[in-house]
Amino acid sequence: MMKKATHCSDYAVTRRRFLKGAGGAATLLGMPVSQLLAAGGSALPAKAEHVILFWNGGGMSHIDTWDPKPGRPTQGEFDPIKTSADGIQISEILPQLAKQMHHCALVRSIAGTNGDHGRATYELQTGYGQSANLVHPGLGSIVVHEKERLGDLPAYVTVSGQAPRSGYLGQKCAAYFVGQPGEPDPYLKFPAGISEIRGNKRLEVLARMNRKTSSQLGSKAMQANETAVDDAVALMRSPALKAFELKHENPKTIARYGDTDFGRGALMAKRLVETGVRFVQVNRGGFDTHSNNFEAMRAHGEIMDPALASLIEDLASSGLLQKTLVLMLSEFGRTPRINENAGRDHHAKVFSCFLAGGGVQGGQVIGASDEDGVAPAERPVKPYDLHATVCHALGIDGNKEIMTPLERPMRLVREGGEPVKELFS
Amino acid sequence: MQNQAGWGSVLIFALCFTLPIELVCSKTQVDDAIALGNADKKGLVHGEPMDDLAFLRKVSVDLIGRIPSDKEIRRYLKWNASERRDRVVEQLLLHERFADRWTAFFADMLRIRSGATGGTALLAYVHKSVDEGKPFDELARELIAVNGRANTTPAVGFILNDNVDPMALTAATAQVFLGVRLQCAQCHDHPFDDWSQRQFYEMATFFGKTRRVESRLTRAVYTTEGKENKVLWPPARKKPSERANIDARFPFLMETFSKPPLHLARLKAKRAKISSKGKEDPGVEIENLLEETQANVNVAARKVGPAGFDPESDLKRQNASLDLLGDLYKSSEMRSELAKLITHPRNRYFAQNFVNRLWAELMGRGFYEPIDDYSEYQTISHPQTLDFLRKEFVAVGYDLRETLRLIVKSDAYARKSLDASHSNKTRIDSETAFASGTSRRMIGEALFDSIVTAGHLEDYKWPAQANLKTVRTRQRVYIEKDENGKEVEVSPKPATASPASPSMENNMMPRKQGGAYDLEKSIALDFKALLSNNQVKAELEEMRMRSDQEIEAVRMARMAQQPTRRGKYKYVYVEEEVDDNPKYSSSYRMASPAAPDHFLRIFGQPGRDRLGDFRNSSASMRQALMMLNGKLTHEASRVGLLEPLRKLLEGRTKDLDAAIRQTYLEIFTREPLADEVQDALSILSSAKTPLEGMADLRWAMLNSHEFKFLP
Repeated sequence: MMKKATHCSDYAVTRRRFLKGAGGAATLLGMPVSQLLAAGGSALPAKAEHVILFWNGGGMSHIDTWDPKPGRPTQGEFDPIKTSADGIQISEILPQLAKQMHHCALVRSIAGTNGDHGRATYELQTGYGQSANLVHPGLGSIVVHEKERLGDLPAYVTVSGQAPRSGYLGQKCAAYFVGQPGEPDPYLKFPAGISEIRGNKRLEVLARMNRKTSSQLGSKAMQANETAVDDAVALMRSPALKAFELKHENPKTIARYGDTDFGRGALMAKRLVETGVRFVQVNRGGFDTHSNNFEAMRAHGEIMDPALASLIEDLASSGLLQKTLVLMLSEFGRTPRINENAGRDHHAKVFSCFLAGGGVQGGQVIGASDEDGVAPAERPVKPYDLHATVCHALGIDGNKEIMTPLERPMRLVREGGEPVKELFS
Repeated sequence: MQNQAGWGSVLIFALCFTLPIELVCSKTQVDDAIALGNADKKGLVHGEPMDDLAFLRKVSVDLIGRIPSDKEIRRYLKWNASERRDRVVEQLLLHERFADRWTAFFADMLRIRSGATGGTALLAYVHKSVDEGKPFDELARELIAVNGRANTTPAVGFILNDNVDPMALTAATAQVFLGVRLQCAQCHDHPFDDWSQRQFYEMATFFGKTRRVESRLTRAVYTTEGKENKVLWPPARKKPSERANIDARFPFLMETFSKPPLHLARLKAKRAKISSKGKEDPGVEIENLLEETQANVNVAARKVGPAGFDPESDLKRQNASLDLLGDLYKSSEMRSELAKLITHPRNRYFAQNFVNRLWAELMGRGFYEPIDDYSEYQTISHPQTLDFLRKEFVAVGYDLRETLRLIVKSDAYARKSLDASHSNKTRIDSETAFASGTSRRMIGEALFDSIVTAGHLEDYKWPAQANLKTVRTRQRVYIEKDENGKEVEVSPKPATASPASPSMENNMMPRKQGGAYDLEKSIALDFKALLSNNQVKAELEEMRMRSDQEIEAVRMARMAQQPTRRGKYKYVYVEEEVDDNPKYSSSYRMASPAAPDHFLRIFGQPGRDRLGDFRNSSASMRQALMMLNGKLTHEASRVGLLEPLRKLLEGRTKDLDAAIRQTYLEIFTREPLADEVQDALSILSSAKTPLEGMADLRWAMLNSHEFKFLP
């Protein structure tokens, strides 16, 4: 049981810390009522095994995507369109996705608190506020810390940009970075001109040298280095690496998703999840639309729409959608007011997010913003409620405390974070 | 070999503290102090002393940030054995790379980011200060007190780093310069220490008048002093009916003495010598610094009674009410006051913090850990050594080089780690007692530069055109409509080559987002040009790593300019021929911190965006992949046509035995053992050619523990 709880602790974690950590988790009898209730809630059979997080950096306009305000001065240039889900409308820039909305849900009442890119990104990605002396792990790190790795590939992959840091969960819970989605990682094969035979011979010479030194010195740090090399070589030799390469994919499929970084990223995310990867983060920037918001959002729509719609469609038809929670998130929304440059500025007070799969009941909207999209009107959702929601979907106990290397107990999800359980009804 | 320190050395050590200052304390004092700290520890085993070459390797990496070159090794070996260690230490302290390497140390400590406002200039400024041997207290005073324009006044980068927020600056100043984590006290009385929230606010008051101003016209950022103090007590959080300014007070107690302590007298003598030589005033007259701030010492002491009060200097204080720093640079009166208190020779925290960080850097662990978390409740592993070093640091005028010399010349520094024949417990106990060495991995920058040196990549090692190859890259092609409405493909314009500039190595352009095979590259900065040439400064400022927000702004501006350049594009594969003959400049000169997926970051360079974020020395799979398959290791392994080793591997001058010896010297800084020569010969002979075999051997050596871990 102890082993299962810590899939990617660093080598430095000692038995003493495990014991201390275990001591912190009280027995059922000693638990306060609130925790008992929470524990009861989490005991629902988890459906999700994987997460695909689309991170839209810059603060995506909620009104121009998930939360249209027809007929209001804040509406902007886009009209709402009907979707395959009864009574749910989304922006016209997402016509293909509209046809998949019966699989998807929206939360329209995220009540953010921070209008600064850096701080808001930190909060939305980790659930915590920035503080000195402690780096909180991102959502993906939490997931791979709690769920065991499946297969050869790294459990956590980030595409086209950086994922948040793994903080006190250590380097082993950090994301594996893929720069160009669909292209093989040059660091996963021997350098140009070095054949497999020669490369393997080199590895043998290296192993021999290292064994000699480390058996002489018995250094833990050296042993950790050897493990890292073994892991690297195992990955280099894994047939599962094919999942990273889109050259094995039907060109028609690539065209359906869109031959863009985003489209390739979405398609690769699907392939990775099929291969067992637990958490894929696909990054996209360019949402900080202080000027020419509508032109930019239309362009974003053209790229995001086919990719997201195809992904949902494919996951649904293969049945993998049941086990895969798809999430599209941004650090905040944008002002309902349209500024003099036809732009919208930062707006954290209310914004939306998109979810599908992993037990999420499709075709529903949770919460609402007011008539102009300025503030939450119904069921405000805290940013860290989303983290509780993801944990809930995966059957992870968000209240679990982890000891940081400096022996400070930290909850996986910030205290007070409540899963949005209506999503799963 | 049990604990060797007998009572003799303890006595000598004790004597040295009581003898007159003129007795120049010998290097063994560090060791004697360690022995004193270990006196009642049982079962310690002392590591063997390193041999001369191992010492050379370690001290080169520590002082100039890379392993010694072949030339340096041969010169060292020619020197008389009895004096070569001392000689090389002196040479390394004056080496041109010394400032590069130690700038990284300061940049980690001060959290300097090239990408932050004024960050590159601050980095260059610290580099210059290290190069010139500016006393650390002087540098600290400038960083804390200065006002000015970002980049034009480079030191202002430190204040700007925390957005001139009094709370953040209080936490940062205490942690960075004093090694105390006051931060908890911002929101409540410190849970594990004796700091109260009120004390935090009192210290924050020193920063309360400073403002960050951004020119709307030029976008220049500068700091200045406002009239109002922003810091109000009680905290807003407590919803008080009224909030008011409070007196600025420094919460740290100054040391008090019954008689003048030696280290302060030595400091005074040292400063007197400097001013008699006509050197520029190092900032503040020691006389003044020692006594003028006594007034503030009293302020600090008031809450605990008159313990810190010295009536004699109270008289002198009346003559010293001038703002001593005011004429040197425009500064904040309140922050100048704080800066003086922080760097006050009687403020033990200041010197203690610095030497503890220095010790940890060179010895693998501090006297207390984390190195910025000192408190009365901390366990200090060797209080006598810490005390000795901090006093020495003050006595030598806060001089980095002199303090480093003291440490690297100690026996403790030059001891090997214990081998596997000792129990795990003995090894850990002996390492933590500094009785034996610790095998620590080089920091990322040192590893990078050592590969460059070992692989002769500082300069081209192939003639031009020797490495022509075809590179296939994926490029974006835009689809636009021509005047007839027909869709046409528009090839991307070739990226405009940046003009050659004195401040940049133009073969080191910053990497764009993407997974290309160049995660070992970066911008190289020329610190001198950065400080001396305004145009270059502006250019670099322009080129600095931008914040997300700025990138977005630029992106949006571009979108606005090229409304057709969006949405429609496709990817094509483009082949081009390149002469792949790389050379690498020093990683210490790169814009830092590097991009998150860069070699340096993967090898533990901190992001420097928060307090308490140190170098990470743990292993990771990504590190392994970068070393096994990365371009840097690969190019370092290949035997270039212009390398001296080449002629030992082919033709009439072929001498494989000599080639192997040369390789061991260049990569491991030592001669190979007999069985290692045999092993290497079989590697060379089993390969297609000795050249390929040598590349295989070099590759394995560069990837090995022995290369990455210091002796």
